[in-house]
Amino acid sequence: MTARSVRIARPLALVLAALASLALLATWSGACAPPPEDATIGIVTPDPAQFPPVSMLLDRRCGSLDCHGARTRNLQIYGCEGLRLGDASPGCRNASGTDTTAEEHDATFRSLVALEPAVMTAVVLGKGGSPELLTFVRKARGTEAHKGGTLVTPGDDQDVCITSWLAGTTDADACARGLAAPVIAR
Amino acid sequence: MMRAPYSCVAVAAIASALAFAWSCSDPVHDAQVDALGPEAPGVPRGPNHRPGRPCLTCHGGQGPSDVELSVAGTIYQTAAPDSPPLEGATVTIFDATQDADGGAPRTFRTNAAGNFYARRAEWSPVYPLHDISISAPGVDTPTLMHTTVGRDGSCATCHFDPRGQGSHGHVYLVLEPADLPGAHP
Repeated sequence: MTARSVRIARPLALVLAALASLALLATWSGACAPPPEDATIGIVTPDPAQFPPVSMLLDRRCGSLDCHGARTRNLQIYGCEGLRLGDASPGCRNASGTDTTAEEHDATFRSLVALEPAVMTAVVLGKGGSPELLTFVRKARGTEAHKGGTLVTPGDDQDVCITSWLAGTTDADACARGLAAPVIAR
Repeated sequence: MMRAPYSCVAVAAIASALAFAWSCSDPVHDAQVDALGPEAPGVPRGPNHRPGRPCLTCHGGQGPSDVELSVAGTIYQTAAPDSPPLEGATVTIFDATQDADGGAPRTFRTNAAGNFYARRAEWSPVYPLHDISISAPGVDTPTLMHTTVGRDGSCATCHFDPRGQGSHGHVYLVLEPADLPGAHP
């Protein structure tokens, strides 16, 4: 390299480096900017109208006040067996309270589908073909660490209740049988 | 070669110990313990202290008590917020290894403060706990808890006053004083 080419190349390199730095800074500051306050994300969900039987099962198996009936959980389950919403009295009707309300089913639905919106969308669009993509399914099946342990086995009534809802048509009979299933270690 | 003065070594050792101790503390647990407040006047630490409080906050293995319990709680006579405790009640608990139909539950007797407890060394139950009931002499039908316990051995984590959205109120045998044994001689 000649002395003349060095004299030209050095300022050019400095300019390019400055431009690159500015571009990097702009990208970085954009990446750290908060999203717009009115930003939303779309979710393709299973049918909310078919959710109440699933909601009742989740309330029974997962919604006690020391588990997902606690407001500190990411997945919050509302219902008469645990966390109440609005003016609903604690306890179900058979315990001097009121049964799970439509608002509570809806609140549980919203909490559940919003956990992993992109994955939920993929599972629903896939007709529920790979429910194990969802963390809550893996936790319930015990294939992912879960403080509450393994609660369902693939193919049992409780599992079918959940996966049939994800597939588009809730098997209400399986949900009812799952509600009545004894609580024993798996 | 220069040697560090003994004082420097001592200071470094103390600083390391303090840093280690601080790093091992759990501020969430510490706050829960602090929130319990002081002991009630005139009640010494022991089986009768702090009725109605979440026992495992201090007795769950994280301290400050070195008496580790697995399940513990307080039973009251009625649902009224000012109900006296229920002494001599039997608390029956099935864990997940035992079927309610024919399985072998654990039973506990409440003391003068209404407290009952299981030491971890004696029973380390598999969750969920289920078909928990309370019975007492003179009461024909045990009071059954309809829901399961998923993970927390302190009754008072979920059963505290006032009754509301996130609590079913304290644990009681009967709703009204009129339902207590001997209320209608």
